[in-house]
Amino acid sequence: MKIKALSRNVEKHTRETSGDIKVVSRNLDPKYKPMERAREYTRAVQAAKLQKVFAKPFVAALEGHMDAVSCSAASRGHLCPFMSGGVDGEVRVWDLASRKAVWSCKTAHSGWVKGVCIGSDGGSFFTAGLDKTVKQWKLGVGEIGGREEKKGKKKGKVKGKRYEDDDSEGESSEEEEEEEEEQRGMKSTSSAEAPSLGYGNNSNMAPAPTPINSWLFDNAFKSMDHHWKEEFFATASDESVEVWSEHRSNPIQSYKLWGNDSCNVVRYNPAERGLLAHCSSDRGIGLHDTRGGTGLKKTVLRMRSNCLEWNPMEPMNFVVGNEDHNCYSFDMRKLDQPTMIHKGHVGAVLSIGWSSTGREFVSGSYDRSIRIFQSRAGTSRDCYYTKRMQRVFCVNYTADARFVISGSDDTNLRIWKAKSNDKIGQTKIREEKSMNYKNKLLKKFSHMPEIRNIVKQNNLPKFIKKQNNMKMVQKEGAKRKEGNVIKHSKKGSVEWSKEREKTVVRKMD
Amino acid sequence: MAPRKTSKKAMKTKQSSRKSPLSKSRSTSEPDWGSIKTADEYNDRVLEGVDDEEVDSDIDCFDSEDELMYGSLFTSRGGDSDDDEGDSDDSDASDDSDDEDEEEEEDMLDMLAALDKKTNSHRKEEATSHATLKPSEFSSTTTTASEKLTMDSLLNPLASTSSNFASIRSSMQSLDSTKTTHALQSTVVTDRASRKLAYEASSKDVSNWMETVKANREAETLDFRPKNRAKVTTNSLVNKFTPDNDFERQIQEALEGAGASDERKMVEAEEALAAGNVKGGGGDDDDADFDDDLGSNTNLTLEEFKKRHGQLAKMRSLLFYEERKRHQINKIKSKKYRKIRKKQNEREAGKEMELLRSSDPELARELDEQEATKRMKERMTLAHKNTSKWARQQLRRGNIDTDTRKALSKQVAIGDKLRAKQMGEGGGEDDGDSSGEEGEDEDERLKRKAREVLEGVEGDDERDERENHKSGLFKLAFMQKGIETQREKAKREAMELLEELERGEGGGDEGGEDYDDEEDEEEEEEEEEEGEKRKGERTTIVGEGIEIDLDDDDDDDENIDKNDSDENDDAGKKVAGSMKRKAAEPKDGGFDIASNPWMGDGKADKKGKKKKGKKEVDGSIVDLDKGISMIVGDDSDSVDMTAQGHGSDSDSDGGDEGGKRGLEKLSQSELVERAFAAPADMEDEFKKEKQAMIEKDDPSRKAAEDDNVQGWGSWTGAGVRKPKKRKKLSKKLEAPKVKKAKRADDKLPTVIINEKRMKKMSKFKVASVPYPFTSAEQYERSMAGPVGADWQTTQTVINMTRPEILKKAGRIINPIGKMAKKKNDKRKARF
Repeated sequence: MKIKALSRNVEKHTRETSGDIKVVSRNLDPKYKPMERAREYTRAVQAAKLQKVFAKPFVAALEGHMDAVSCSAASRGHLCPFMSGGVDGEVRVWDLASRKAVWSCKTAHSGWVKGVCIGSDGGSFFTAGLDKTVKQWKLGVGEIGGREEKKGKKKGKVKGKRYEDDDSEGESSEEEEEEEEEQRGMKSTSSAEAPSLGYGNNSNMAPAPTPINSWLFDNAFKSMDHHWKEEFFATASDESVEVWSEHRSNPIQSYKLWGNDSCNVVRYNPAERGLLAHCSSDRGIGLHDTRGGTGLKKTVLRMRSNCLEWNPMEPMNFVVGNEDHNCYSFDMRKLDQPTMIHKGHVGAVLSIGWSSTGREFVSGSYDRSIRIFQSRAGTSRDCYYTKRMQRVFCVNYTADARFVISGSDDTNLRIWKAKSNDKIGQTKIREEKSMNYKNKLLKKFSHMPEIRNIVKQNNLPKFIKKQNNMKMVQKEGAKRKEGNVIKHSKKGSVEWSKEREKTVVRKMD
Repeated sequence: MAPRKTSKKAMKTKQSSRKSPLSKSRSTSEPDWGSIKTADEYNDRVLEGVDDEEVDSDIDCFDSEDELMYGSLFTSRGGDSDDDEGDSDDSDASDDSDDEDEEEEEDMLDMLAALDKKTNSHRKEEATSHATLKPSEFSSTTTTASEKLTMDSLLNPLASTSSNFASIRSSMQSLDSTKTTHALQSTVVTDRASRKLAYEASSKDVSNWMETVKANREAETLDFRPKNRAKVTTNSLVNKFTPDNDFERQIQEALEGAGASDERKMVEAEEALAAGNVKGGGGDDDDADFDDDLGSNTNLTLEEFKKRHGQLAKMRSLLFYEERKRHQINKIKSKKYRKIRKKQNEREAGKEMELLRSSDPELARELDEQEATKRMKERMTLAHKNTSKWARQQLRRGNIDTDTRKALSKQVAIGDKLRAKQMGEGGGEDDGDSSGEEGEDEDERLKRKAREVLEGVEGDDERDERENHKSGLFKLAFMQKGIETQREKAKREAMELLEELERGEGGGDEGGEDYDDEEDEEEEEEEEEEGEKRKGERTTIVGEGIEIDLDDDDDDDENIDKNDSDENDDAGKKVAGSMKRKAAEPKDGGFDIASNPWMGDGKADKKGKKKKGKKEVDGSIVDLDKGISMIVGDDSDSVDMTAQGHGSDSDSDGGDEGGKRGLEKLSQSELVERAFAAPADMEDEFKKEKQAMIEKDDPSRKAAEDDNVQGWGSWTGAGVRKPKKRKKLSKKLEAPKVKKAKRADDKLPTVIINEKRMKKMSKFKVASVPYPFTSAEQYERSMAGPVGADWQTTQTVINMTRPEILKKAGRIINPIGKMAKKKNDKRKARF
């Protein structure tokens, strides 16, 4: 008689060292683990709750500006340097890793700093102000305060030079730095220490930093952006959009089309580098091609657009933040209506920043909050605010798409996590697997009412909530009115209007 | 090149009239030659980064042609001012920079050129005006209206200068034919047209990204991690190894000292050793690595070596021979050979045993004991095979008494069971074994079995009779009849089989045949005798049975009453007769057992059945049929007691007809229908229940109730006037009638569907199909199947739970690259 006994290969199941992985035999037969959907549903609910429990987006505040922060820019080739300009004309450079100002110039401009951007080589940055000047500054922060502290910590590694290096180099060091940043985030050390400033402000005796170059123009500048690869930059002034070469004292191109617009924003396309877009005070959005030296098209919305950003991964798409509290996604080939209306803010949208993945963007608003939208979602994924944060004038993503930085009226810059429940610091493999599983479950069951409610739930400040309710009432009223109009007019003569079609007032060639 | 050139010229001329903001600003600083130079430069800028080669060639040709004419201008420009240097730098820079955009730009350039061509004719007048003043198409001067311009007057001066202008003149001649010229269109219009074209061109250009963008959008995961990461291999680790602590350093030194670190040295050393080995003992003896069969490391003389070699060869050949032999023997399949072989082996074993007994009695005893236990075990296990000596003897004797037969049949039953088990587990390999052991032919085995059946049947009869006496129910006539028919059938078949087999054998085995014949005759005689005996018995039993039955029945069954009035004996005989008839034509009565849906298992509890049977005496036909089937399908010792109902029924129907009808005419479906037929009152109950449910859920009911509340809104008490009847409202003012709600089970009379919302379930229900999905099925499919590691393999889990965006901490993600832009070729995106 045959007897089948359970047998186990001892060699297979014996570990050579304690570090070896244990061989685990599992029976995947579903009959031993019944009710899989019910179980996974429960896990999904738990995951949703945990997501909310761990949602702590605020990382740090960068203090130092003496007046409201009006504009900011993240470095394109590096993670650490971050530039910001204040309403009082002060410009500061921050080291995000140490979260300290490493350079500052109180009198960079006389009056508002309206635009700041990094140069294409990463070794210098530009500022533009209402004082009709554009200034180029050296971004060499290695030999000063904040960096020296770091040197002591990091075995005397010289990093100062790095910012002038080419993009391709120094990847490993960046990673190290990021890790360091993460460690700090874990420790949550206070960033309230007095920033050790650059050579300009260490003492009263030291001379103020001087720009490498400066350009004077007839009109005040409202915005500026630098070409992503070449040594050109564009400025928006009261009358036109100008394109400058770094080596010329006068603009090489000037777009003064469709009448005398007062431009408030200008942005280069990161991928299709000849393309330029601007927003003007006459509610218009204009496109230009610097290669042909011609304007392309202009579209006029119902209200003024305050900001514009091109999607870095989809060269044909851009988003504008509008005075009517909405963000509008546009395809440059179809300017007659937006591809998506992003709603949620209850104040004018003042700034937009794209994640470098091209999947989501952040918007800062006059309603004292910032919102993160997915590129093709009508409502925001998340909304960040603090009690002390005032009108948000500028928002940026870091180049690794992990952090969001907002600058606001309360003179502070704030660092936020792009994903509120992200873990800062190194994750173990098992942890990562578990997170992936949870995320997958959340996605799978995202339509279930219970989970949807948990995920959607977001405490908002009283002001925003009230405004939201008011908007809801207004919206309903408008809808009712429109319905009544349709009801009482000849059948077929009036139809429900479509929101997207209402957005664009007219187009101009 | 010719058309391009003309267009360029046209463009250049155009510049004089069209004032770009750029040229304007420039003109303020450089008033002297601005009109010429800016136009030129503007052209360059228009073409900047567009088509560098084109631009260069254009400049070249311009130089070659017109240097003579404008040489002074160009030289003066050379060392003019800082601004100028900047200009040239810029143009150079632009030339260098935009190499990548060449192709895309070409389209746009063409379009612009085409545009200019269109306006060319309009500006012809203006262009020509320059020529009158000076033979240059670049100078902008005004012409007086009084002078009449002709093509000839323009071209004549050219003729004197150089032969190089022949091509221009020829092209101009073609223009000469057009006589009328139109007024210039305003710059607003032309600019708008050019913008429109440029917009179309850049829209088209930007669409080239679409393929990649779409792919990225649809991709389940976007991987932004660095692509070319160095993999850690052992080789790389070894090469990079540097000793850190003392211990490692020591080892390193030791290794280096031994020369192990140097690979070449190692190889050389190995080769040297190998060479020493080939020499056959010339090398060092310490090295055990090169030890082989021949023992090369030991110092052997040549003779010894040869001797040893011979021995080994012999051993090898012997082993080979043995192996071949064994192989051959294993291949032999003859039973005779095996038998002989077995005997031989046994004999040899016996001899060895004898030897052992004399030499080593203790060991022998031990072996004996072992043998004994083995035998015991075998006997224990073989008890069921009927191959023991005792069993064989009993079988051979033939005349077996009941006890013995019982024991034998029990053994057979156990054997069958075990065999069935084995068959279930290890296939049918056992069959061959058993037949082999018995050493019987197939025919012989069959014959034996048939004989056994014949014998067994007789024995069973006897035993049953005994049992029948014990249990009253077996006394019933029809029961007896049923059993009888079955047994007879089995017997007949066995007989037929035996006859057939013997016929097949022919006269070869006469003795056997004789024996069989005799036996057959005997058996037949016995059967006849027994049949008579049984008949007699049965009649009496039947009488009794019916009596009992009727006694039990208090019901006023007409037929039974009638039966009662008849003579009991007669009735019994009648039944017996009918049953006999049935037995004579077994095909009528014995319907297919296999097809019967209520084929009984025959092992039902007798007592329980008894009670049931009594109850069901006056029951439906279904039960009767069941009873019948039980009888037919059953072994003798267990019969469903419900059968008694059939007896009475068939009686009451006046014979065998009813019973037959039940068996023959009812189809399978009818039988099933009857079996599951619900009682009539249940249907009513169901209807009532449904009606109640409908009324409960009906929204109109409540409205009706509210209306009819008596005395609502009126005073009560003594002396109160009767309230006025409520006014019936006009139709317009009446509340709209609540319609009776439609129900899902309206058209399903046999179904109740509860339409109430289940609160607990609502948590797990989605109101509508969620956005990306288009149908409920699609959504369901996306939800189907678990994701977790409890249900899926590791790799599947990894694949299924891969996040949408993979990125490395601190890794900068650059904007989409130029390579992702495709015109028509389908290269893979790189980023």
